Amino acid sequence: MTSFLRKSGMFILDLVEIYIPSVSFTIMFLSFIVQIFTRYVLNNPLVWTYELTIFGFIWTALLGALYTKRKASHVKFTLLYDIYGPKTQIWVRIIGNGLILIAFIIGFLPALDYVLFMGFKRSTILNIPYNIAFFPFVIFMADMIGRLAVDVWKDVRILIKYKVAEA
Amino acid sequence: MNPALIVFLLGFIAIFLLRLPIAPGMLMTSIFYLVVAPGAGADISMFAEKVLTNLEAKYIIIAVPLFVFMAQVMNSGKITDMIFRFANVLVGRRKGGLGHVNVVASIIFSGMTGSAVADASGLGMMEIKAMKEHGYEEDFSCAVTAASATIGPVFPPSIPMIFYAMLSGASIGNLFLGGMVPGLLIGAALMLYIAWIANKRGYPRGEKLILRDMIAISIKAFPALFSVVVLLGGIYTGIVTPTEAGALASLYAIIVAAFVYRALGPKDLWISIRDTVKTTGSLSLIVGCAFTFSFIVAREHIPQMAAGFLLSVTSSKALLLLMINIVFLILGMFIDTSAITVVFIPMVLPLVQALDINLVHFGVVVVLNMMIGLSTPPFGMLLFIVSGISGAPLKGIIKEIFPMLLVMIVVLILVTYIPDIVLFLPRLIGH
Repeated sequence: MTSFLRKSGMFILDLVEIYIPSVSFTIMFLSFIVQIFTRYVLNNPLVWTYELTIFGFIWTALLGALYTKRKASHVKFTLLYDIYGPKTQIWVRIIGNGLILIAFIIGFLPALDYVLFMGFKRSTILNIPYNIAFFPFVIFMADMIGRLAVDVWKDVRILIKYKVAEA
Repeated sequence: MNPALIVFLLGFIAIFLLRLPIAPGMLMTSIFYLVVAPGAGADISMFAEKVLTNLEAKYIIIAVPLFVFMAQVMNSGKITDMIFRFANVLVGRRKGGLGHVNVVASIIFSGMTGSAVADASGLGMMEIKAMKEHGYEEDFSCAVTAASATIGPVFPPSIPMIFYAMLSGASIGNLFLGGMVPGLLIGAALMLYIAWIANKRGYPRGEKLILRDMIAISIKAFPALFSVVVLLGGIYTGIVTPTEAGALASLYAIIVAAFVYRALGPKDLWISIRDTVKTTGSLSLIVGCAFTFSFIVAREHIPQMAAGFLLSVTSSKALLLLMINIVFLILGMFIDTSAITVVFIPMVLPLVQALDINLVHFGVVVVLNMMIGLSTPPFGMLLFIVSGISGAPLKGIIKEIFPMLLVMIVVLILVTYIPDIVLFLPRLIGH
């Protein structure tokens, strides 16, 4: 049962962090190709491709940022961190991730409110509500809160082990 | 100083002190600022609004994932290999031939992608391996690879220039045109240095190719090289926009890599898409979060304060350009270029406008400057990349790259103080 839950959880994470942004990127890319083909070859420009490229980009960027987080590839300034001692580094990670976690928890509901509020606006051609176009931002915030909480928890455990070993 | 501004500055310092990921760190700072900030127009939800509405409205930023994707496809397929072999035909016979090949291949590759990292990590492995096999010192090979990779974002297309255009309102077409001559100047300056050092150290000439082989290699490389024509030709004939050119050239690269060179299978394509998503996530989030950051910076009148401070020190345009160059060169040594562009450029733009400096000229100067920073010890990212792919220790690479940095700084000074080097082409083409 635990293994099933773990596998299901991993599948959902892969879906949100890898497969959906990859599909969004592909849709965005293909929309561009269709746009260029219809405008320059058929001389009959399409407008809906413009909307798909923008919304595809937003989904790729925000959900892709979660894949970046998973791969620990977000840009960081590491110069000072590298000269800290091992114990200080653990503290720095706990405080840093903790601060972002608190900020994201504070910001989550206002962000959700804003995204849901944008449901009143729809795209001109495809009639896509903006709460759907912008929804990856809510997923981004929620996923980041989960991942940051896990990071803080792991570092607290490392710190406890470190202190026990020191004692 | 008001409490909200203090919170903002503390958050900004925490990003560097606590090694916070820059984009989430900027969001954190913005959220804490909005919690404390008084008055209308500072609702907490504003951070979400700024990120989302700007990602939606700044259409030019969509070019970024497309250029990233194109570089991924080119590095997966045989295209980089073809570029290297073609560059060898052009300049390989000279003394220190492979050093020259390294620079020329980078110039050609830079016409296809807008990223120095893609150049160093894609072409780099092949270049360093070939140079080592032909008796060049590993440190020198790595240093040439890192230095020549800086041409990538200076010569069009260029991801940092897209960011700059988005923030400053300068024409992306003019920025791309403006970067051409400085990119070629850097290449020429590096080749002069390589020629001098090749004579001094007795580096070998490349193998002599018979005319038939040269023609055969050139014909084989033609489909790969034609992607430069698709991309730049498409933009400058006005047939496609820079963003569309990114998509078109990516499609062309897929077709060439998959069907002409037969080096790109479905699995390679999937890996290219996945890696593009990862890079796009990192770059686009920085841009999105920077808009929240810029909103606060503007709300607190920080650019005006910075401009006022600098103008109180001196009102000389030449001296201020020198000061900005030094600050950006130092920043480039320590901080990622995308972060510098989105955080620090908006702070100096009012000053640039007050001094009546041409935005295209300034954009090219800043991009060139930041790229030099990417190869500058001790923390230039390109140094780590070439050290990583070759296994050579950083110490030796740093020793070898210093003279090349001086050469590039001379070009930077020329480009800074002779604006026509940048503005000549945009004026000629009539943009």
